[in-house]
Amino acid sequence: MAYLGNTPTTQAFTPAIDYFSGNGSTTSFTLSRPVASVAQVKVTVNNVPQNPSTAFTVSGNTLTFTGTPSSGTNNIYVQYTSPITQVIAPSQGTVGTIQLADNAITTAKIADNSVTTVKIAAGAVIQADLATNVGATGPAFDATADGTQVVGSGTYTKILFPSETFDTNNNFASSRFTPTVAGYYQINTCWSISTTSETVVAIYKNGAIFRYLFDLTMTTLYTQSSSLLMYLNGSTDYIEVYAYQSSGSNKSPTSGSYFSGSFVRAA
Amino acid sequence: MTLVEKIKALYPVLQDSDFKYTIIVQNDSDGNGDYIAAWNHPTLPRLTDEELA
Repeated sequence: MAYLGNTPTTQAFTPAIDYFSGNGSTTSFTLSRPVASVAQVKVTVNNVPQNPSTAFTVSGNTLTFTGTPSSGTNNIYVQYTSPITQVIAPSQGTVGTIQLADNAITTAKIADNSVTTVKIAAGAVIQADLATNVGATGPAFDATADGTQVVGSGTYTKILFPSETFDTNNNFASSRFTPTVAGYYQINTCWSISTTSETVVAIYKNGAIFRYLFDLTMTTLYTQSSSLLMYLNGSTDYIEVYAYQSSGSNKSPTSGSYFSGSFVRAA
Repeated sequence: MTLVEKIKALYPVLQDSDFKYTIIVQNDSDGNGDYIAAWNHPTLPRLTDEELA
């Protein structure tokens, strides 16, 4: 037989009652059916109907009293009053942004380690967002001479630093620093030698003099340090330390001589 | 005799200071010895390998 108007919805509902026995301490009980709200159940304790707005709450299959029901056998009973006792969850992939209120997503809803850098706008992270112990993680190295190398008089000689103190990115080898990260680096070197002659120390970049660091006439054992800031392309650029002395005889830089550097700014 | 000493012997007019910035004799500490990396002397011509041999 045809209907006039909308076709009635056919639903099956099997009435049911859950009984629980209070013990004077338990406040939560497990329902046999999940419910979506307190309006879908009628709760009675010791034959006294409970106020759904103040006496209890429901969440799925859990009934929780705000007070503590007294002891008794089956003195708590729950009558299901609605055929819709299933919690209706949206289908997967169907919740759009318009269903979400502004500022509704809390930190607890975001899984740990799940936010990737592509979700952060370029230039959006400011200094105040960084912890005080955050520093650049680019390459850094430090190495020292061993006091055995011979530097001939009048010859610019590549200084050897065979003893690495640290080399965070494995970019220092054969007394040469070849960083694999492009950017600006602070480079330091200390020249310690026993001579009374004139000495010159220079930083070589890619095999040629990049910058003279100092030109001094030493007096006995002399130690002089210097530094500079320079750009290295992170692939082919490399730097070395060369030194010159004019004593007229061979000299050896002491183990106090060092070569160090650190990434300070991205390209 | 070092390379610097050979150059000085051939050009006695050269002083130690000439080897700081004008004539660069270099050693890359790679076992290949000294060599002339740059010769910027305004009047003296660069010595050839044969002259230095």
